[in-house]
Order: sequence, then C-alpha cells, then structure tokens
Amino acid sequence: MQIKRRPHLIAVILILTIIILTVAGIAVGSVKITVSDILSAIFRPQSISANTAYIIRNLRIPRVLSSIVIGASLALCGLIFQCVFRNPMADSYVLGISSGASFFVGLGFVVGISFADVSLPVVAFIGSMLTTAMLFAISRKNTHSLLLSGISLNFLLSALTTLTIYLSDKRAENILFWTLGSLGNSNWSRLLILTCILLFAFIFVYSNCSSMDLLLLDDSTALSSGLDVKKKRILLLSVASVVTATVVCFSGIIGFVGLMSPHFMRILVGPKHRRLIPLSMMMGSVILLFSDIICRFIVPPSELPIGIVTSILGAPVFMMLLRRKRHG
Amino acid sequence: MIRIKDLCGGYEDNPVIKKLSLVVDKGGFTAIAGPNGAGKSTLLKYLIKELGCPQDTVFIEERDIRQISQNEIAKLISFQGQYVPRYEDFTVREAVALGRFSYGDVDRNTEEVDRALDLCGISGLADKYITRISGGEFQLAMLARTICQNSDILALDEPINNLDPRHQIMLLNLLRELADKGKTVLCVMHDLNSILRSCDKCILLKDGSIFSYGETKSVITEENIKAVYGIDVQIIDHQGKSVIVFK
Repeated sequence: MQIKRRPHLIAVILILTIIILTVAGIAVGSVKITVSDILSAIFRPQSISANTAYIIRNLRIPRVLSSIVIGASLALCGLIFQCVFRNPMADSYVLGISSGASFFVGLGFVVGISFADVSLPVVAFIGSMLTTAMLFAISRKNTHSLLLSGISLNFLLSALTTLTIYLSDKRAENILFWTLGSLGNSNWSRLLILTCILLFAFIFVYSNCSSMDLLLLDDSTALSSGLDVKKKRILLLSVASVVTATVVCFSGIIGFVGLMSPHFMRILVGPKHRRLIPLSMMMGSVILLFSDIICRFIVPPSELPIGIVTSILGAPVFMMLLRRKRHG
Repeated sequence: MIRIKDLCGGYEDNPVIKKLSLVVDKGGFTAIAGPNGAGKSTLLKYLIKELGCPQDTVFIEERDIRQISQNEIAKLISFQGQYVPRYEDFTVREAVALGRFSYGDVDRNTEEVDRALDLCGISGLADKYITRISGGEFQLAMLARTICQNSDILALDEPINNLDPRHQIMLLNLLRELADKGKTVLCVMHDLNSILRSCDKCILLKDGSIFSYGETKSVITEENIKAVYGIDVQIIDHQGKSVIVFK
C-alpha cells in the first residue's frame, strides 16, 4: 500500500514507458526503421531516402502520436463514466456508447455519407449522445441495472451495426473498420482534431477533480457539500460523449482501454481524481501504444485490428473486476 | 434558525410530509423522532434541497431555501445521511477534506481538517483507508466531514445506528459538545433513551405531521409514546435521570 504515496514516481515511470514505446512504435512495421533513421527524419530529412522519411513523418509518427492521444482519451472517458455511474466496470465500450456511435456511422454509410465527409463526426456524436442519454435515464431509476442495461445495449447496437454491413455490402469494409478499431487511418489533421478535443476535455475534467471525488460518495452527501449533482453529471457525461464520438469516428471501437487504465491507476494511487486523471490518461496511452505495436508485430506486413488486441488484454481484467465486485 | 411553513410533499407516489410547520431556534440539540415512514429523513432532505419544495415553505436563517444556491446551503447546513457508501479507497483525511468543497479548498485547508479529526478523536486514523476502519470509526469520520464544512447547522440522519454502546456515547457526547458551543444540531434518532439523555428538544412526528414538539421531557412521555408508536412504556427515575422501560 505504500506505493499509493508515490504518484510522482509512477508518473515518471509512465512517461519513460511512453517515450520508449513511442520510439518502438515508429520503428516496428513492415519497413524496418532504426532510431537514427527516426532522428534523421525529424531533424535532417534530406540525409535519408525520401520514402523512409515519408513513412516516418507522415505515417508512423502521426500513428504513434494518435495512439497516445486516443489511449489517453479512452482512459479519460472510462474514468468519467466510472465516476458518474459509480461503477468501476463502466466504460464507453462496455456500456455500448462506442457501439452507439459506430451504429450511427454505419447508418450514415447506408444513407450515403462518405468516409471523408465532415458530417461523419456529427453522426457519431449523435449516436453516442443518444446512447448516453438512454443509459442516464436507466441509471436514474436504478443504478444497479446500469451495467446489464449497458451490456444489453452494446449487444443490440453491435447487432444493428452488423445489419448495416449487410445492407450496404459495398461499404462493408469501411463499417468493419469501425467495429474492430484501427489506427491505420491516422494522419496529422485527424491528430490535431483529436488533440484539441482531448485538451479541452482534460482542462474541463481536471478543473472538476473535487466534484468527481464527491460524486463517488452518494447524492445526498455530494448535494449537502455544495455540489449541483445533476448539472455536474450531465456536463461530465456530455464531455465524455463528445470525446468518445470523436475517437470512434477516427479509430473505430477500441474496447477495454477505458476500463483498464483507471482501474490499474486506482489500485496504485487511490481514488483522488487530481492524481487519477493524469495518471490514467498516461496509462491509457501506454496500453494503446503497446497494443498497436503487437498488432503490427504479429502478422507482418499485414496488421491485426487493434480492438482485437485490447479486448484480449481487457476481457480478463473485466472478469477480475466482476469477481472482486461479487466478493466485495 | 430553521423555519418551515405548511410544507407538504415527499415522493412521486408517496406524499410523506403533510402540512408540516416548524421553527427550530439557533443552538441546541434537537432530536427528530417518530415511527418508520413518519417523514423524519424526508424532512432533512428538504433542508439540503435534495427534494424541491414550493416557494415560501422552507427558510434557513430567514432566507427562502429556493433562493439559496447549493453551494451557499452547504455553508449554512451540513448533512450526514443515513447510509454513506464506502465505495472508494479514500483515506480518512481525504474523505473528511471533502467537507471543504463549498469553500474550494479541499486539497489545501489542512488546518480545518485536522481540527475536525481532532474534535472527533480520530486523528490517529487520518491516513487509514475508509474501507478498512470499523463502522463506528467511519461514522465518526463522516461526522468529522460535516464538522469540517463549518456550518452553523448540523443535520444528521440516524448517526448512532449500528454503533456499539461505546461509540454511541462518544458520538452523542460530541454532538452535545457542539450544541453547547452554539451549533444547531438536528438529529434523526430512534433510541428514545438516548434522546432523553442527550437532547434539549424533540420533534415527535406521526404520519408526516408534528405530533409533539418541545422540551425533551415534555415530548417523550408515556402517553405520547403509546399514541405514536402504539407501545406501552414506563418512564422511571434512576439516579436523577429518566429511563424508559419497555413493558
């Protein structure tokens, strides 16, 4: 338990791990790249072949940076959902919110919206907000049924997404991309949008650390301590939905990162959100960077969808949590 | 001072409170008693705005509660619920410090937190996790949280339930001490003997209305207990103190 007193040490370890995995993430792939190639591509691009420089600067670097940003975003969303619903097993994937965004994107394809269309994020956002609103309505009546309702919603929306694949056979590949998750479409402009949204979300959430701590107790205690519980919940859920929608839109459904990261960090540094938020986000980046390297490492030159790897890593954690909750 | 005027209400399908009027003066230790479902906890929920009330019905310090923000209410009245879940591994100090939320110095004001911990006699538990202390210690920690809120009124819902006799006496003595220092302590309690021993006044509720309200000895009588709870008791004098003996 002494480790709970060392958030700074954990932060340093996570930052070092992110740096190491970032370099590894740029180096690993169908084209082998050395550390000196990476440095050359950044500082002296003329000193290496144009092809290698292009791969590093326009493919690998945006991809690993996207891993960092998306991993942090998923962890932040997971943390918000776990706090608002007071359930350590809640995250945007388990609760079906990612599937909601994915289903609406699928519907968008059926009605003819193209992959590059700017309205696609809006469609994903509507899907994620509607699913969150449904969950919120359910949890207001009975918080205990939230998880089962979320899992049911996830099944329903995943089935409906599959249905849209059948209905739009020519675009099936694009929709499949959403259901399994991939960082293969990362580029600088998408990275910029993701980073801006994450930054705004982080500033908002971090400035509400104490409110989130209070939400972990109970409504009466939070209210009597001066927190407008209803308003704060809606604001936090809206932020989480916007971030989820953006992530789903650009990388598809990537499961369990939002579940695992806050959980690991809660064990290490306790429930105080002032520590938990930044450390969980770093942990999310580490998990996604690591998963992306595995995706590209296992079946070169092809790659596995990243959602498969995160689910394989995350499902045992979910079962462990269920077990703990039952015994707790 | 708390003033309630013709309050009716409760929950969607259960109007618990029926035309209740009440004035609780500043200072003193007042118990709220009555059978289950009489409206004791519901009454406290109106005082922290957990339940919405019509205009001109609930006043704190002569201000209509509807006109007071949630943050301001926290500075006027602190509340401890009947059941606070120990959901997360906060340390006792972290949980107590949450009482400073309305002042915006949860992570900074260690002085108030230390004072509250000291007053409740749990300074030694400050760095222990709330999931690993006993029920009695947790109740004391939650009381320290309400004290840390530094408001003049303390509203507590059954704070001595599930506590062993030692912790019950410790907590009641602490509430008595706070009342003597000028705080207004309003406390839902079931143990009539504890009310007789510790409280200045008692509000006896029946079916959502006030059955009797006044000095404790004039409210907790054999006749009133029979009328409200439907049980026969005898109040005897033991070494100068009144004790209720259940027949």
